[in-house]
Amino acid sequence: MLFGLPEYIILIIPLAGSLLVPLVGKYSERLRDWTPAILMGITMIFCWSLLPDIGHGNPTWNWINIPGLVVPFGILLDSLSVIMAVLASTLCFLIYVYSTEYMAHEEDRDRFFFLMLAFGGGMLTLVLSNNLLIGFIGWEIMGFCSYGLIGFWNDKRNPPEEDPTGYEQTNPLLQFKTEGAYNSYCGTKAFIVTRIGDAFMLGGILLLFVFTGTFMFESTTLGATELTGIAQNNHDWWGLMAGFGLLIPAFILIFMGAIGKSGQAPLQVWLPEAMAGPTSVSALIHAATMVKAGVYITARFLLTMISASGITENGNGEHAYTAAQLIGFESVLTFFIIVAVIGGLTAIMTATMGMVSNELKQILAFSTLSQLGYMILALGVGGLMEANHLHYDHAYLSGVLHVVAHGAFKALLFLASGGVIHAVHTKYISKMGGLKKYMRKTFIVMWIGVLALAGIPPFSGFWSKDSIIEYTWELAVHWTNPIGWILFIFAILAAACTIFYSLRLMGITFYGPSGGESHDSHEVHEEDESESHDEEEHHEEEHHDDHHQTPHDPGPAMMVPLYILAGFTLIAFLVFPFIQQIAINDTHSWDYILSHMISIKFSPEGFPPFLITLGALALGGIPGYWIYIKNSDRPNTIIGESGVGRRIYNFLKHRWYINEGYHWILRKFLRLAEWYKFRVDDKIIDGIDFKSADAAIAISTQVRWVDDNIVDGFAEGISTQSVRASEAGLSETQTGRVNDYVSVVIFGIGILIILALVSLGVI
Amino acid sequence: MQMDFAYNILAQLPFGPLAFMLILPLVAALIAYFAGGKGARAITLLVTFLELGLSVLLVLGIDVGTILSGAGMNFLRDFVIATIPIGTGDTVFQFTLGVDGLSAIMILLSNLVVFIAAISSNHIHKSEGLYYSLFLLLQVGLMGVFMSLDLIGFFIFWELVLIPMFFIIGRWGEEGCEHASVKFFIYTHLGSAVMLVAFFMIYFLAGESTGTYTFSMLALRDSIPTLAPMIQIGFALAIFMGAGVKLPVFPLHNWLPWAHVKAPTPGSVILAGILLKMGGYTFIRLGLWLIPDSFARLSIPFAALAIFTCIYAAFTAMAQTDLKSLVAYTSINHMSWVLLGVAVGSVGIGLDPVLYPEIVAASNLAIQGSIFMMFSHGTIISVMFIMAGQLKYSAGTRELPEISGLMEKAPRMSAVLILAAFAAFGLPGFSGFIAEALVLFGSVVVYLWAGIITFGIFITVGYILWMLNRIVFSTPDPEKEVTEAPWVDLIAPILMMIPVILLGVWPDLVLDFTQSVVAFILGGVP
Amino acid sequence: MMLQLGPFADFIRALFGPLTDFLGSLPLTDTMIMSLPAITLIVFGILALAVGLRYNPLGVSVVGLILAAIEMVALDPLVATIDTTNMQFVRDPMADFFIYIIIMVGFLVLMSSTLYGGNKGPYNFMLLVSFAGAMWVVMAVDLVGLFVGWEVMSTPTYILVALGPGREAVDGATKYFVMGLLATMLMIFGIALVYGVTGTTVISEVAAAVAGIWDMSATMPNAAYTMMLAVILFIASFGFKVGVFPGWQWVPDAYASADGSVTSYLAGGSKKTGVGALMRILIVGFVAAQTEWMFLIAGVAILTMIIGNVLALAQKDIMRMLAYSSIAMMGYLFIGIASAPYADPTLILSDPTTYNYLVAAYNLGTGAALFHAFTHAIMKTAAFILVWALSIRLAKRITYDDLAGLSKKAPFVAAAFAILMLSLAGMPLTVGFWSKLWLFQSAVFAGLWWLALIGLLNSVFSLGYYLRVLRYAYMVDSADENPIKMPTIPMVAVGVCVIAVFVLFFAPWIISNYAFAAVPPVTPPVP
Repeated sequence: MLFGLPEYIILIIPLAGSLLVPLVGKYSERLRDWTPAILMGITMIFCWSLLPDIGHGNPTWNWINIPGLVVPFGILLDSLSVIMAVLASTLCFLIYVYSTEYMAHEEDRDRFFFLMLAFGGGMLTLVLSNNLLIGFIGWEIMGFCSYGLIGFWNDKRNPPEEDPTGYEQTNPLLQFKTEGAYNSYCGTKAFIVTRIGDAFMLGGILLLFVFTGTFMFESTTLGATELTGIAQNNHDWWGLMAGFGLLIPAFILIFMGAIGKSGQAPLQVWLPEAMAGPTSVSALIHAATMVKAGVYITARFLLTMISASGITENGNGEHAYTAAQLIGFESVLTFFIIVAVIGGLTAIMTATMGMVSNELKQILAFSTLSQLGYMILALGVGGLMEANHLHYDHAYLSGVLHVVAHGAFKALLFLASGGVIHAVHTKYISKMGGLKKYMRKTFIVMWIGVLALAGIPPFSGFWSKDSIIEYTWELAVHWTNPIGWILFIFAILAAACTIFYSLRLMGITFYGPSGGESHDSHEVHEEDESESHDEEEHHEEEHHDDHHQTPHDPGPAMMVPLYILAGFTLIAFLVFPFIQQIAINDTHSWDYILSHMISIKFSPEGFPPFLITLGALALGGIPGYWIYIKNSDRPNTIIGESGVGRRIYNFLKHRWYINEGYHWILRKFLRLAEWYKFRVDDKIIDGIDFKSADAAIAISTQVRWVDDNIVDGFAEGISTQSVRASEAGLSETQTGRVNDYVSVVIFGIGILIILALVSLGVI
Repeated sequence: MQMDFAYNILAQLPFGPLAFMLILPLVAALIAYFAGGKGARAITLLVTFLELGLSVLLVLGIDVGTILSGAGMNFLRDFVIATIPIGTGDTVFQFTLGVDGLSAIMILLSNLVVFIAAISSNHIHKSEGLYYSLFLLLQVGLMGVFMSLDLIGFFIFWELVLIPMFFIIGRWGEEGCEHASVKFFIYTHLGSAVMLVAFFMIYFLAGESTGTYTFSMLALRDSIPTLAPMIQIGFALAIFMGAGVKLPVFPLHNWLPWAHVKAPTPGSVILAGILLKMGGYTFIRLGLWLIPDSFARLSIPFAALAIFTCIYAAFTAMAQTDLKSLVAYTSINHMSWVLLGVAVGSVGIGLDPVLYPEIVAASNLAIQGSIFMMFSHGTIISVMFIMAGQLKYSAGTRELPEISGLMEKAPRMSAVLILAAFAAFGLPGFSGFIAEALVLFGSVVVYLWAGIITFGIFITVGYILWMLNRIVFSTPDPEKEVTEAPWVDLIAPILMMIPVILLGVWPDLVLDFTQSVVAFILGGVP
Repeated sequence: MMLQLGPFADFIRALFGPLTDFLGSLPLTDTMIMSLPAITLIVFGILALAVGLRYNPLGVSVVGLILAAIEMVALDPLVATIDTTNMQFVRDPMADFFIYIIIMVGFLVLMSSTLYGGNKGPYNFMLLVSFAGAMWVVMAVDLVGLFVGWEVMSTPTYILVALGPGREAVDGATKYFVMGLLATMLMIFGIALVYGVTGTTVISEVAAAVAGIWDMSATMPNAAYTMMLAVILFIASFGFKVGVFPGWQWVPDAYASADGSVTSYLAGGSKKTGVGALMRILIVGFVAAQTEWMFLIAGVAILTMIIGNVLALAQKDIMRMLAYSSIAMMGYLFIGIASAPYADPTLILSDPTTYNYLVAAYNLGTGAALFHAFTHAIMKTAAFILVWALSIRLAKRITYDDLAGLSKKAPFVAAAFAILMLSLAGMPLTVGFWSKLWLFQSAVFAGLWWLALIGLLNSVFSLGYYLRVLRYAYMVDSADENPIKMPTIPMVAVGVCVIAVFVLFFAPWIISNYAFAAVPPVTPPVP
């Protein structure tokens, strides 16, 4: 309803408002800092007010309207979009509020808040747009903003902090003089990696457009004209593409975009580095906006495909569909297998990486990756179930629930850890410890978040994650294909790893002896601060230092959002039934759904997976508790200096060597294309640039050579040449000796005679 | 959307509006030459501004509705220069001036760019009188190309553009500009020479087949289809030689970096802003509009060449260290989209929209896209070049490695530069994006493999961001002295950004005027 | 002649009506009336020689030239009434066209002769006599008369070249003279051959005979061969004066060494008489054999263009460069002659469309050639005068380096020079554009598109040296910036030409109508 305003106001406010930010900054610093929060607050209210409108048509306006291409600008008001919008706007609002204090002492906040607000606007554009093209625009806006925000601290002069247990110093490609260089490298990397996905995605969109001839998801009416959407399968693109076998390519291309954005394997490499930005940025990227975009697109296409395939479902879960519809849908079975497997793989892989990481925010990043893996897995499972004559919607629902739950507790975790980092001035947990004495409040909310992350009942994470595992089990049981079991095992192991690293995080950070090391790292700071010429930055560092000695809880603007999120995480299970009603318009009453949610855990089909889950939690939890919390004061000796343990540790520490793998391939490729010395300080992408550009230069120099010797020869070369020649050779034609001239004349007449004879046809 | 008041004003002008628009700068050129100094600049600004106003009126005043007769040409008028009394096939040499939506839009663009270039000529202090008179002469040639509807008049203006440009590059350019100017002249003249022979051939053959010998495009448009396909293809190839040099396309492009880099800032603005568009316009007017069939036959090679050019230029641009030459290669990279659009668009010409709806629609998209690309590139690249020139003044160099931390030292400049750069690689919200998207959708529907050009986009984004990383967002070098650009130098680029952003959110502003033309072209020759 | 300048001509006739009546009352033969202007020039030449003993006779020769011009115009009605059968010299449109060119060039040359520092009496005498001879050459419709006129024109030019400054002038004159003798010898040989075969020297009768021979060339090939040999000899001999392959070598030597005014006359005037004579012989006399000699002319054109351009590119001395460029220009002109096909009268009945088409092509080619003759006359004369005046001022031979910074030293001179160069290069806004355009068009029209292509590529090629002038004048800066004071009268001449170059771009019809009206009509010769 939106109080009678046009719906697109929701997109206009943040996008246009972001331009206001610098202007406001001219007049009032403080107001500028609050502008995003205020605007996003309004937007949030509007988004909430959309809930009643769900399913009542999709309002549309004209954007480009030329023959051959009508790009209407439509708002999509179905359950998925609105839920995502509400989630995104709410989290953005909280994070902006948090940022006002967190960033209070930073330079150049104009840029920061401008990008933050634009970021939120991009996400809303993506989730609310009924138009793939405009959605893609939002998608790109997010890409640019992430590029700017991750690399926000690109002017930090101090050398990057050393990871005490890290290996980066062994990698020539990852040596940076200043932290600023490192940051902007991270930004560029994130941007380029996601761009790779985007390029594919654009291809997929176009491929789809070739057959569907429209960019609309759902059909709508623009004035009098009826615009059919992709989901309505207009002129039977589904059957057509299935016939050409183009369905899978198209969807995989689009899914590549999702992989890039939500950091699924094998493009997960950018997310851990994306921690370089300010913490609120990480929270924004992880909890609310960017990585959820990929999940959203996948879910959106799951719905679209199911609707387009024309499969109808009657109330009590049986399917009525014709063979023809089946053919199309069976053909996308492979697609969903890929989706599910990638999801599961990401979940387990990144979880294991998280177990050994030493950087606070990086652990959270890995956890994000694995939770995203869960969501993708849930969607894939949903599709597979549909293809196996089961109903997809509950698996899909559990995916959506996990998006919501994860959004909440991951925002909580990031904001809290932001407070921690803000307080102790290091991002490495090995330099922390024993903080629970100083930061009581943070400690508590952090626990809540961690338990939710680990999936301990009754925290929000439990309900969503466990239901995902549950439906994976159901699929595995009903599906002849063994892949189902593999997925299930992935899910279970990932759960075990999750709880392990959650406890490790808490233990190392908050228990045990207070990390005195952070001091010496601080002295290092001091020195090159004095080296650096920049005076006020020096002051600023000092200003950090004075409240560094005793870490304490941050102020209200940072804490209040934490409380809100923590509260939600606690009572989420009361909210989920509503979401279920909305998302899959479940007609049952709230209490019925709630009781069903609980009772199913003990029902015959729900109990085995529940039991296994609990076993997994124990499997991961007990050692985690034992090592890191019980004996937190003595150094852990489980991993020997050498032997299997250490080798596994290294393997995980190096993130399964995937990043190095890329570097290695890259370096081999560069060697291959090597003409001159390999420039060690090249950044990865720049490396590619340089080499390919060198090739291009080599070519273009060849071209230019030809050019200079032919065309300039025309203008200059020939002239100068022939000047020289005329002094040497041609001038002989001007000997000035008359008899030469005469002989030439005679000779010429001879030529003419020959010509004449030719033209007379004699010879 | 014909507006009566505009039409009435234009109808008042002596010799008809078009001839008036041509004569005005010609006269002003003489006055400017003798006025010299500040006076010349004042006159030039005044006249170019008048011309801009007139061309706006022209766009508003012409009838771009559904095309009924005379190929939808407005203000059609002949000015006979010479009649050769040779009995059969008396040759009448005349300027036939007339505009349809396409021409009007291109005229608007050229006057806009010329006006901006005139503003940004404020660093020219060497013999201004001559400079500005040549400048106005250039404007005459540019407008004439877009106005004239007969081959000879077209050729005259086409050649006329060379002379002032030659002097502007060679006299007011930078180190080694003489070489660049000679190179520019000879390259383009070579192309036009081949094109001229083709004009005569078509004049002769079409006349032979119909009995009436004429250079008028409107007449030839009806008679050419009667010729043998091979002849038409030959004609198309000759056109390609002429227009391909100007556009430029891969093997013929090497004059461009030289000319653009060596020319003075206004010179390169006009070069990139309009001269290249002459190539694109020729492809559409003499290609799609005049000899669609042969272009349709050559569609695939042209499209392939365009894609290759795009990627090739992108790579080469990546390797440049001089900002100006980087921008120059960018414009090669972008103009190849125009050729792609034309090549793809030619496929749908004359097809029955009922039988092949998506092909016709796609061609429509592609052609509109290439027109739009011409306009948006004309505006964007002008800003880029002005900023590159400005960098020379405020940083003392254009070498990317030597410039750093522009963001801190010169925020105003950096802001404009960043905006322009984003627009240049087609960030949504700027006009470049719309153009690329239109061409891309059209092309992919017709040739799936045309999607390869997205790779070109990818590289373009890569090198432009990389460029920004190196000079704008990098840590400033305390030794290097960089002064902020004064507002007076930023007037021109900021003015120019207005259409860029405006068209990014409201593309119909241009497309409305060209739709009917494109529809007419797609209708094929009746 | 129905023409744009008609009113002007009528005014002059009205003004000098008494003169006309007076001349009409004199007991003059028709031949004398025909060649009255030439005779006037001779008379005034002698007068100038006499006056030259004490005073500067330039005024006398100017008066003479003006008088000749007036007679040209005023006698038109009288001439129109004369029956021209079996006359030696006839003022037909083509002759008039060339005569007007000669008079115009004459004026320009006299204006630049104010720079001449040598012995003025003989100089003026020679000039005027040579003008008269040139008039006779283009008027001649009989080979013998042609020969006489030719000698009257050529002989003074040998001396004029020798009168140039410095030692090398004599060298140039010697070469020119020897080559000229060779050419004359070849010409006589050609005339003899023609007479031997056809038994007549009247060109129209020769045309009939040639048509007859070519009709039955199957049976009498030897006659055909002989005639072709004659054609070759004519091309060689007249082409020598025109400065085309194979007789071009004397041109740079003579042009560069002679006095600049004389050079401009050679380039602008006597060249054109050669063209006129050659066109009359080929297009009127040997029109029936066109399909055969077309290849000769085309070959000559191509060779000449290439030789001219390549060697011009090689020059450092501006005079020599201009000399070679004028060689190349004659190559372009020959394209026009080559593409004037023979409209076989027998086609009138059998295939009228083809006949009409051939007639059109013939008109186009010939007219384009005539028009080019005119434009080349004004462009080249002006260019030579300009460079000559410059070298007089700088007291040295002009090379490219001397042009450096010209735009600063003498802006208007530089502008004029630039415009002339652009016109020679055939760029728009100058009349050179039209003349080249029409030549190439005529080639394509006659089906010789390859010839047009070669011509165009050559003209692109020629940019190499034309642009170099512009480069030095405008882009290369020189050390000294002090302005050059140019002589007034020659500069006025140049200025007039430059203005003409401009005006004729916008209104080429002023001349082109004359040119195309001057095309000799296609009279079906009676075998």
